[in-house]
Amino acid sequence: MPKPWPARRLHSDVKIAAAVLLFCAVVWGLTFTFDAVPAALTQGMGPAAFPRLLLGVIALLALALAWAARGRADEAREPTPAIVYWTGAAMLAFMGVMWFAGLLAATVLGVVGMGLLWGERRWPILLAVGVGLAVALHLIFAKAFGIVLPRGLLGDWLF
Amino acid sequence: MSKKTLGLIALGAAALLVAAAQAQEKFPSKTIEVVTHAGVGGGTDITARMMMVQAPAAFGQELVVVNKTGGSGAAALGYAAGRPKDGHTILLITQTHLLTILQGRGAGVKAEDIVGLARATEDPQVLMVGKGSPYVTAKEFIEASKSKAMKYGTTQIGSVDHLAVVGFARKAGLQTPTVVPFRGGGDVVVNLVGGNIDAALLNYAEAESQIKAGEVRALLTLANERLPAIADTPTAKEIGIDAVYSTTRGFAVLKGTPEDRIKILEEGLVKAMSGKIYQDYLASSGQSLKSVVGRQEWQAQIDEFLRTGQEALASLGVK
Amino acid sequence: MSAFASGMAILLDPYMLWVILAGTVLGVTVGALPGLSGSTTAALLLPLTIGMGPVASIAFLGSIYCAANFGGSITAILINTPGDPSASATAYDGYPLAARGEAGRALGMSTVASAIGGIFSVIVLIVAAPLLARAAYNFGPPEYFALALFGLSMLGAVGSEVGVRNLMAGAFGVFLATIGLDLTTGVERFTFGFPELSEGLNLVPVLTGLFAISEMLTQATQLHMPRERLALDAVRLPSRDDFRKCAKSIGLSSVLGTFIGILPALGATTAALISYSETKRWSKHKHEFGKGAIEGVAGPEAANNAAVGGSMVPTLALGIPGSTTTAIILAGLIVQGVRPGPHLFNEQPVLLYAVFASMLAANLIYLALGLFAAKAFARITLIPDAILWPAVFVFAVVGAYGQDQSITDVWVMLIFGVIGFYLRRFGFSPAPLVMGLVLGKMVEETLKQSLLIFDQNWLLFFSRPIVVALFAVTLLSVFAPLIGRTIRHAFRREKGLDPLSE
Repeated sequence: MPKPWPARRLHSDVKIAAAVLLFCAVVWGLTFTFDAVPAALTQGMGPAAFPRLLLGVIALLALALAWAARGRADEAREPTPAIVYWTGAAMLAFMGVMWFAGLLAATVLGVVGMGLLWGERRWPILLAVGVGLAVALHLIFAKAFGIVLPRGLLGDWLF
Repeated sequence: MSKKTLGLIALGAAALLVAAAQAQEKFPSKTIEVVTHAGVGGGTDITARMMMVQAPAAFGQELVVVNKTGGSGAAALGYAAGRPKDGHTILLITQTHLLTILQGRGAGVKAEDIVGLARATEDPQVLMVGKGSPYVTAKEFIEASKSKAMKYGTTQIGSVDHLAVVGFARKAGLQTPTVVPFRGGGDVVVNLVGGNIDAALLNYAEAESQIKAGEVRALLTLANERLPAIADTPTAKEIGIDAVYSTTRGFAVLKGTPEDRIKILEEGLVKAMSGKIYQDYLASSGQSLKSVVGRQEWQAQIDEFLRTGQEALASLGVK
Repeated sequence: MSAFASGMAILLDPYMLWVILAGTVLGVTVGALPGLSGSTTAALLLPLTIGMGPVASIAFLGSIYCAANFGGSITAILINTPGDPSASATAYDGYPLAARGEAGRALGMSTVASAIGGIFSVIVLIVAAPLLARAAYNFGPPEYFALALFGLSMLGAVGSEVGVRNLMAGAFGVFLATIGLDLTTGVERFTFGFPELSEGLNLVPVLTGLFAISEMLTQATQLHMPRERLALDAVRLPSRDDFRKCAKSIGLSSVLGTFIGILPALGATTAALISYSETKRWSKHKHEFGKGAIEGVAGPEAANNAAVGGSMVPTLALGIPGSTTTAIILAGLIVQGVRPGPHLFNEQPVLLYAVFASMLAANLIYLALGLFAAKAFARITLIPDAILWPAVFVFAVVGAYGQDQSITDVWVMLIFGVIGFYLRRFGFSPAPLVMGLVLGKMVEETLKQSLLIFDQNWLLFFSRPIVVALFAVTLLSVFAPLIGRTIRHAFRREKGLDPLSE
């Protein structure tokens, strides 16, 4: 037998449905900001018709999800550990370093930094991996294939 | 980071800057970036790479293609605008870039900022119908088009061939055509053969194998002269329609690049594209062997297109 | 037949063998590396091939094409980062297999299935290319619309347990496909002023985000749990039993992949996704899918490599390329003065058979290479998480950036990493989202094109026999399970059993 519905707490599916409905409403609003269609091309479906149809379908499905949650017990979910947010922050920091100093510098710092964050204490190994990776990327992409990797502000300024 | 290391970094950076400044005495002093709006493998991208085969010999430097897709050239223009105007960044532009600029979407680049270097390809558009079409000659097709709105397959809305379809119909006094956009020339050819569309303006090479197999008929060449490969197909002028449309690609830099460097770039590009490999590419892909022209002629063509483009866009209703 | 023999004879030429070997090794490598794909490599190396002569140059490009499609599965399995979009379906089950220490089994199966699919499609190419190519002309927008609907009808089946959630994720994927310029009106939708978005979301950054980045965040939630991996298990290759289990799905997917590849508007990615859901539908072990079903690796891999041979059909026989790589191969042919088209099969059969021979050889080479190297590659899963995942992150960034050299794409990847993390946390599967995104654009565009062709008259859809047939198959496949269940329930009730207990 499913456990009785807890009186005050909402089922997580109901919360998901609410978030999805909010998303649909906002994006529906965005469809009114599209540029006007040139007069010569007005026949047939307009640019907003298909996205609106989909938003409608998603909203209906969200309602179905909430409806199906009636009387069902919520799954127990462990709270997200702090390390996940720290990892996300490290990714943003990586983007920052890349913006400023280019991909290769970000690679070395990123591998060492994230490795330390994830509990690896042998930093010489991390440093070796980071530098090795940066050198390999430079050789493969820039040298062998002539693909320009992000140079960052510093690189733009220097080269 | 300590003050000392910061100081050291600044010193190193300054030294590099000085070295960079000295190195720039001679031009080109480093790898030249060729910026294109096409993805790797697209027609424009291939053109750039074919030019590049014999370019290092002409410039004494390597060249590299930078693909900045998106926004019908806007991303490529934006990237070039953000690079120093020292001649080490050149654009491979098509009419698409110019249309994007005319629509005010050129990432801040204005029409007068485009300085032509050399034209790379000139590929006339040809009016084609499928083999199931009841129209065998251009005259029959045009006669019928005066009372019936034909369906033309094109690439994107606002693209060069879309413009050409509308312009051609207007000049020939036809009913406003219905435009069915596709993702690329290949799709248009398939649908021409399949009978889903009435006609299309395509480059000869795009439908070469179908023309040879008799599955597509080339009715009219929208150029000043007949194409050797389809010598039986008349030009629009011959039947009294003043319509000339082609897919054109060429190199350009943005205004602000020093005049002496523009000259070096022009000479180098023309030399590279006069080489055997590029000329073979032009011949085998069915493009005009007179494609490659220098700065003056190419700039005149750009100006002409900018002048008429505004009006053409207005006639489409695309702002 | 003598043309066939002299074409195949190129394999006796040591120079040709070197060219094919080099192309294959290069192809596997770039296929496995996120950020470099077979098409990028082929385009970058095209100028180099000019001096090689027609046969060698096309053999080289063809080997890269064959091998890169296989290479994409290596990283998909090992680090949940599809090296090529066509390997995304391989990650659904390949990565769970690797994560539980059976990387060698997954890699071995992927190698064998890829080679079988690839070889099958080359044989089809040899036997029936000019004939099959004509099918392309029968597929206009209405037919593609019906085909896309068929693909989308499987959304409910492709992901994890719950139907409503799968449909939501799928519809969201289709919605994402509307980002960018509207094809028939040229109006920008949801681009927020980013020119990079005007051609729609790029598949690579979205996939890398949904798979690699969200997996990294999920791994972070498990960092506090000690994990053990057994080296011996990781390098074990698939057993004879595994192959017996997968035979059906490899066969089915080879046929499906070849057919989908022949249609110019569809490619290896679609082939792999549709084959994945078909493999699941016909499997006796549906519940294993998404959790490490070996059939889930075999099906899509056979299909995406079969699509390679398939897409060469319209390229060579009609001069119409069905993918970026075949567009480059076409350019390579033209530069060499070879004009593709039906006449090629009469005028230059030796050249064609030489190309086919080199593609066969490429498939055999990576088969040997893959099985040999699978054990070595599998050890990658033994690298400690804290060293492996930061490196994977760097690869993911390069992968998202590489295709268009766009930082916007890297941001797109990060955003989809977060979306993917929360989707999984709340029980949504990314698989239907990917399917929706891949097919969504086609559904909308072909619908609008069809209506233009039909002068906005919907009923004309039913005037096209292929469309009607595809609609019928779609309806059948949606309702067949329902009908089957109803019959079973009725049968059970007859016997006095509880109809709801299965």
